[in-house]
Amino acid sequence: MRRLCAMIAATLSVAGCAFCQGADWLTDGGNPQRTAWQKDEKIFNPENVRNMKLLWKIKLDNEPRQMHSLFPPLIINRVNTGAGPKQLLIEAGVSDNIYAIDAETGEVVWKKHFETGFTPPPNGGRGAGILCPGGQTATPVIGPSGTPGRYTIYAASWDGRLHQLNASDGEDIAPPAKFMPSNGKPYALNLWKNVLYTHTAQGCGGNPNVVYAYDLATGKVGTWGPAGGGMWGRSGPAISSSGVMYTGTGDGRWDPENGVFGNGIIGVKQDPATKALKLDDYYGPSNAEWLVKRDLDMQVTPAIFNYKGRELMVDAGKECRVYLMDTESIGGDDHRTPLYRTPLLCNEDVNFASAGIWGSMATWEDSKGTRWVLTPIWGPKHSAFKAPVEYGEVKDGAIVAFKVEEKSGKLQLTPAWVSRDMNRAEPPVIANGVVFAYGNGEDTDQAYPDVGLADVAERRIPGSTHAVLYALDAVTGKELWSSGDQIASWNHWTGLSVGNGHVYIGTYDSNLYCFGIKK
Amino acid sequence: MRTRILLYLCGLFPIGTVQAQFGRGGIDWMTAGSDAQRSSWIRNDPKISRESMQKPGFQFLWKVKLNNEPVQLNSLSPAILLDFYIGYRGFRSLAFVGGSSNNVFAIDTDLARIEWQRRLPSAASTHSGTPGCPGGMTANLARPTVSAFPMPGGRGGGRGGPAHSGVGSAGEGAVTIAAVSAIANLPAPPGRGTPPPNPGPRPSYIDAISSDGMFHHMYVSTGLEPTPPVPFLPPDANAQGLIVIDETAYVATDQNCGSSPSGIWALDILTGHVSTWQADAGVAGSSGAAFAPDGTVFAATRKGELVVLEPKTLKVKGSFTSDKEFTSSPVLFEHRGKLLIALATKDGQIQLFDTSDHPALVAKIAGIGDNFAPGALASWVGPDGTRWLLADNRGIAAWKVVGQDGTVALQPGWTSRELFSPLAPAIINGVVFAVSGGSPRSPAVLYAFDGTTGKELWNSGKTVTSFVHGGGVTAIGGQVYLGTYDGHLYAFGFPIEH
Repeated sequence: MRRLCAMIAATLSVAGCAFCQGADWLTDGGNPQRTAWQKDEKIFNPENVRNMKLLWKIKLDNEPRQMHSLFPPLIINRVNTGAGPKQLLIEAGVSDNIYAIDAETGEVVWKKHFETGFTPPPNGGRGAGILCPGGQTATPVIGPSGTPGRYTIYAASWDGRLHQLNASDGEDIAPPAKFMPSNGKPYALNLWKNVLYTHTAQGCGGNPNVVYAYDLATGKVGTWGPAGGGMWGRSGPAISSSGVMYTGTGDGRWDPENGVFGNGIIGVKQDPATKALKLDDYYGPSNAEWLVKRDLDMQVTPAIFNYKGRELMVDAGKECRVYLMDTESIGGDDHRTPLYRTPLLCNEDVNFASAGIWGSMATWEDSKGTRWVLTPIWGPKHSAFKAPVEYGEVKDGAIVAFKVEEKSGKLQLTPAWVSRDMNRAEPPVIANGVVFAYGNGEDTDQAYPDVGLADVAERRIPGSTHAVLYALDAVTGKELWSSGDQIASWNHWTGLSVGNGHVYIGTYDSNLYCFGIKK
Repeated sequence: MRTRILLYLCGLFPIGTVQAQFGRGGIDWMTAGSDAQRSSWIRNDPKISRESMQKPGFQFLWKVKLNNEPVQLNSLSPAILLDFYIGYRGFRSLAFVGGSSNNVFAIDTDLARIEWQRRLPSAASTHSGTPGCPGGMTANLARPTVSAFPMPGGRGGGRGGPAHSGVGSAGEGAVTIAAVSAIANLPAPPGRGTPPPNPGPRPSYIDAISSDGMFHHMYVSTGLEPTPPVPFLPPDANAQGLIVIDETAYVATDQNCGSSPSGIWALDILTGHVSTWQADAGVAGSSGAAFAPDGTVFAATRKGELVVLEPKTLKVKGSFTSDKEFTSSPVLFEHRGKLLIALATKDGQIQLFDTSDHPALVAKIAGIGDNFAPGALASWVGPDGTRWLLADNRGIAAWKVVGQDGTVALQPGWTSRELFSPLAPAIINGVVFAVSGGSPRSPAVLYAFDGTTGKELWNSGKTVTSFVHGGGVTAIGGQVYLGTYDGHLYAFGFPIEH
């Protein structure tokens, strides 16, 4: 009998039995702390990932808007559907679409399109453009309902309303509710203790750039801001164990004495009684004046992690440094002093586009207890930055890995490796010793030698090529696998999702690709 | 409720600043004398002020060696400035410097990096060169500008205002919903109408005249020319005061150098047509012609003629003939509703002319001393509304323009400490920067004076190690620039952490 059970367990494990001990990816960045670490991955490993193949791809009927198309799909390991339990991907499209896709077959199980009565004005607010594409701009978030196999999808549509959908069939669990002004640009939703968090940027729709917190229990929405030019971390806000929501504040003046927090990092927390958001902490780099002068935004979603009993955070910006902070006091007594600040990793030319750190951070802990921090970089590596292990010249981007270490009683980020060159490296995901990363193939230039600033999709789309997905050894950075030319198109402002032996990536042409270990 | 919502939203959107970009951009230094009126006056500055210059902080920032060979006493032209530019390599503050050997340099003024440099193609000159006709590239660089008086300008207040916290009623969403809706439903201000269509991004240029007389129209980002150079002047002219207004380049030539008669020249950049007005006995001063807001051109000659020319065609509209030899370029300014011009004379006078009809002398002050040849005057308005005139004359001398009930007069204001070979001063937000130009045996010194009192606020001591000939100091965005004979561009200002 025991041998029979062992055989069954082994069979199910080889078959990638997600139902048994499967992995979810319920939010952008994997978890509220935005570590991008798929801790529950049991199938991928550095050996078998070399055999990864394209398992399926599906073209969805989502219309791109400007350069936006599909968001990182969320993964629910086991959902009770009308056709039985399934592993579902919840894929959001910018044109107010939500798709539930069977993770094994790549077939659409259900689709929801948010009907809206919103009519955009001709030149409302910032008006239509790459920075303000309109449509659904926030990756949804999924919360358990309390019933096994039943999940609620929370999504914000173009008209600013909150939708709560049954993951089983896409039906509304509650009527769409007023949340934010329409035509704004919220970023990936986060869910913490029954409160949804997001923040907005670019002043889209004429809306101020603020933090939003939707209290699901009371239906009250708290706001805080503005803060600088906007909060546009790729994966939205990160939330600490004490419920403080952190984000970079983009571009703007740093003048905390007068309540202005541009080009820094803020932490806000909900007052549980009033539901108001209050400023809890803040950090402004000592060279904030320089950062705003050169448009070197603090615009990266931070990652929060435990390190030897302390809750630490890493963040970055276009200048191309990484900051290590303690959530007890992210900027120290003067709010200008993090635990550690790296030298410049890239952006030697001091450019506001096509260089620097964009998107989100990532962090994981290996089996030996070493804490790793990873960041994507765009453009050439800085000539003065060196890592012990590098894989050739970096011209267009790479993943840079650090170890968190203590030296002379102080914490620091010690360079570990720099990956191979990638065409605009994007935020990685770590799963069971493998770093999944990709170059998005996007033309990220915003200015030109003749006319200067001219950031329009008509110029950038023709210059974009195609994304390339990579699997790297998480300890050494060595390339283990590449998608080569298999991905036909590029993408903009999306990300990877990893779970149960699959990795997913969407492209501008609304194709969703699934690579994985073939059973 | 509506009032409260509007007040909340006003906190989120400080009027006039919601889209302003903090810390970037002001009024730039576009040509010799900064603007079309040749005032050498930058009205606002985020860092330089009479108050800030009285405290520690202003200091030498950097110097960059530019690869240029001097020609006679000419080396580097005064820096033309672009304080805020979004280029393909990033946000930039740039200084453009001309080198006498047909060089153009663009310098990142934050990082002291050469952004680009070009040697303009120019046929080898057969001209041997003299101090009066040195050859090489003699005219300053210029950026296209306007003939209107510069606006006060200055930088925006920043994105958004102080952060606020708000809580919406249950089921009503965020307070920003109603606030944004209230703003959207406000009636449009009267007379706004439909805004004109956005013309789209347009190139920015830096212009130069090489020693062979060709006009070069270059992208500020790369120095490359989208169109071939255009013939403008005869070769080896002694050209001064290049300025570009409304697709027309203007420059003055003097000393009849090469085959170039002295006079004012105008090039229609689009058609290549060149108009000229010839000056008997040479054009006075070092900054060329000055321009009224309507584009009318004013030039002075060493024969004592103040001539009024039509824009572009340079047809004579009027003139005033003096019995004095003018020794400066005109500076034009507004005073109590009149457009006045100030000029220096060789026998030590400042003369004021009303330009209303044909130019008429309305005031003068004498006793400055013989051989008064300041080259260029400067003019600014103090915080109390006083109009000042400044000139370099063994130091810096400042006069007030006074008068009422239709009369105008000049009163002595202040005189600075003595300066050796002073250059034309510049006024930055009430601070007068002046240079003791030095000589081959004594280096230049930069000074800062309180513009209302002449009190010395700061000097560069022994920082500068070479002399300066011609040109002057320029400034924008909290930084002051000076080019020296040995090919260095110096920057002074308040440092920030990079």
